[in-house]
Amino acid sequence: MNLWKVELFHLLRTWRGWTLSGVFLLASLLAVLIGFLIHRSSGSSFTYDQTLDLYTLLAWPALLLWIGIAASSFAIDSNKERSVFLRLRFSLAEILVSKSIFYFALAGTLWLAGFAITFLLGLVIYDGSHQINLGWFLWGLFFFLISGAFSTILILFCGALFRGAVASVLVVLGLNLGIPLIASLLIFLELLIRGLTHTPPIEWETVSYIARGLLWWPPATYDGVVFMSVTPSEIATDTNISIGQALELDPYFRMKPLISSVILMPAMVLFGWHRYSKREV
Amino acid sequence: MTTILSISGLTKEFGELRAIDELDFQLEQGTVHGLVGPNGAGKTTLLSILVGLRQKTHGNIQYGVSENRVMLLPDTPDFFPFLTTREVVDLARYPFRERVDIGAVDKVIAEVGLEEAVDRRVGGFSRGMKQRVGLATVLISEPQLLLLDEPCSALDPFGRREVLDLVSGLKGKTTVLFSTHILSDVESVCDSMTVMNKGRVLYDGPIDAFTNSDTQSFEDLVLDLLTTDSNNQGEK
Repeated sequence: MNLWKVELFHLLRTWRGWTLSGVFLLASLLAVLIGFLIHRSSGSSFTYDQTLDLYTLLAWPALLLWIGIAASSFAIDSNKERSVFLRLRFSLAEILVSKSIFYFALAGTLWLAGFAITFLLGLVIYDGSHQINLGWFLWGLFFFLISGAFSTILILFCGALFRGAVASVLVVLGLNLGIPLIASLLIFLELLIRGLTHTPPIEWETVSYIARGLLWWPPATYDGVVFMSVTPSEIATDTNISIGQALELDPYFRMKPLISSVILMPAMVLFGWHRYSKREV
Repeated sequence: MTTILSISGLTKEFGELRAIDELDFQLEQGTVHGLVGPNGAGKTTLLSILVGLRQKTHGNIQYGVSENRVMLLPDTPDFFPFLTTREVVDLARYPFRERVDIGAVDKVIAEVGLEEAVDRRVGGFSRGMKQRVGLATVLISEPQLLLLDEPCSALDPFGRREVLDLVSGLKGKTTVLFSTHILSDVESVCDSMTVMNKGRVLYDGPIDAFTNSDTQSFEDLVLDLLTTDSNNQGEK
């Protein structure tokens, strides 16, 4: 028995692992089902890459559940006795590194498994004549991995800030959901004040100062996953269409949150490490 | 005799409160030493500092053994509820796997009397059973200095007797620092003891020297010592 197996058993022997897998699978099946309904109602040709775009959106609830599960696991000192058991036998490095790698790999594996299921079902059910571009797919995957790494480190950071699991979970969820929600409201107010309410949402990032500021918020790297389903027809028009939104096919899309993620991640790890090691049990 | 633990001028402050006050104390190898005192005497704080779970304010602590051979059993041990007894003890063995063989897991579980619960998940265990699992998790690491924080507090009289026998059996092999407020336990298993009150040492020496009285029992002597100290502190 080692720390890796403890994390695995924690998932497999409780509701956590099965629920999380189920929600990812549900996102995958819903993407295919919604695709089917759109296909039937509009009568237009529905391509399998569009189901992948739907999946990236529908996987959000599963990712939020993952955040909750990981954040409660990182709150190692929330139960004093279990914390004593671990801290007396394992170094802090062993505990935190095993948790970080485990939960990063877990999110990646489940998300990509859901993506693969959607891909295969979409390919069978819908128009599969266009191939996904490998170069863009890898670029999108890179953004996804950076987003996952940042989320894992954010969870570690919040686990270091608070001893209790509830506070840690709420703050991580608050940062992931609250900041975009509050920013959206502020963007609307800003546009209202400046008399620019007619601006289409796609242009907010260039018109609104708050939207431009929000582009530096690290979790925005997740938007880069839209590159994982770029087809040759999209490359030809230099436009990526994702869930009805047309975006310029720009490799520097979400470069700003990528830079802030790369800068913030080591700082958060160092701060978290310092707090965990100074904490008295 | 070799000194396995030497403490001098150890102080721990929590803001204005001095939980441990200039504590001096030595522990000889192979002995079972009792740490006695009422609630708030500083026993648990002292044990926590000795294993690095809390930081001292000042003072010196010197070990005569490697620090990874010092192990603590807290007063209310708790474990991951989804693991079985065998898995918990095996997890406790993992950091010491180079010197402790996997076969030792079942042996230690039998030693603490949990053979029948070896494959049961610890989540449903009573406090007493968790205490036994706790004992198994510390014994598996083959400690040279074992710190027990009120190990009998949750046990029934039979379980208490078994634990005390187990501790007695460690005499000469492992040094045990045994914190408790059950005075009869100290008298029955310890060679020496330290009586603490409000972070200070009131008595430190052999049990025999302390009980050198025909008129008063061991318990009365300890209680008198603590009452006199509390009265003196009140007068100040």
